Amino acid sequence: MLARILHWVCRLVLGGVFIYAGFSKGYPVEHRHQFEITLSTYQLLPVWAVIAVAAVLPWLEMALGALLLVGWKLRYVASFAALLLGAFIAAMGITYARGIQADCGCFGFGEPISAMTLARDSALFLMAVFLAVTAWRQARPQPAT
Amino acid sequence: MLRRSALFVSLVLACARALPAQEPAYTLPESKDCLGEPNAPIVMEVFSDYTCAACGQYFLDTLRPLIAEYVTVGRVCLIYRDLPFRNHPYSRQATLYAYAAENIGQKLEVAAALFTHQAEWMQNGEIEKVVARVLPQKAMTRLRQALKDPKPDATVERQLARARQLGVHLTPTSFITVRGQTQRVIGAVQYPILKRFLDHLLGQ
Repeated sequence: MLARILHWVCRLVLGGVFIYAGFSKGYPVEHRHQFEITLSTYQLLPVWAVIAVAAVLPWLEMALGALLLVGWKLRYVASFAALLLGAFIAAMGITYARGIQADCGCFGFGEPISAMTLARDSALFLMAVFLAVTAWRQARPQPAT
Repeated sequence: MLRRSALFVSLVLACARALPAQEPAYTLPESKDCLGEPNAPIVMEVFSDYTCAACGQYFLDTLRPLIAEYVTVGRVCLIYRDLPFRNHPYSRQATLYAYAAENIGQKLEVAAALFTHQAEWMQNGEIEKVVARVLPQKAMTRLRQALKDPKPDATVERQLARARQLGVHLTPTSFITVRGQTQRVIGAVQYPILKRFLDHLLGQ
């Protein structure tokens, strides 16, 4: 029973967070340019990749959030969410470790990468892993009794 | 199971607590001591430190082309503020050289020299030697004179107060203002990306 509650809380939290994160990067139009600027300050990607990622990521996050809330193909969606959050943590971790001062760009703008932002994303990553593991377990065929 | 749920609840609470805090509201500086046209449609205020590597990269690769393409033609008013932010022994000294150079009209040349040879003077403290490479003898004499003046020191204090007022604690930090809307940018942005943003703002 408790596992089911946790499973639902994870879905709601991650779904809401992804939709909010994607929306805050994509709307209004200025935010798309601001997100390009944020990605640029990470100093990890060439200019063309910064533009491409800034164009795709907000939509991807919103779609992922919606799918997590709806629960369609949950095991795949949750696994992808965990991978995406893992990639965010890696990008932020590398930037932070290199001593580069950059904006996190996680929810809106003006928040620098810090131990706190890394901890927050790690917590979300753990939720996504939990969700993916439980979803894969549930999808496993039950042994006949 | 209970322990696992407690852990989970604390994770959710940690996420909520880690949401971005409210920043101090931005106000345009009273006197726009800017490079370029004070009434330009875009005002860009930059806080930088000569001992910060990202600031050097930002100045040399982004702000220099920005000055050439936007500031000199009156599209951007650039307010460049030097801060001795870091606990480096030569940070304040380099800042004083930059403000003294500003008083003799050679700020950009000196700033470029300080950033280009950052690794050198940060190690041996020979800032004057680096500055002398870009300034003629006559200008160097005037710069030494300007350094004796208490004005650069007072300017540094004023800039630090401005940084505190805006809650700037990382360099480089830029504030881009257009039509009363301000965007805070932390870090060094690639020039083509900044250009796209400025063109978008100017095209509105």
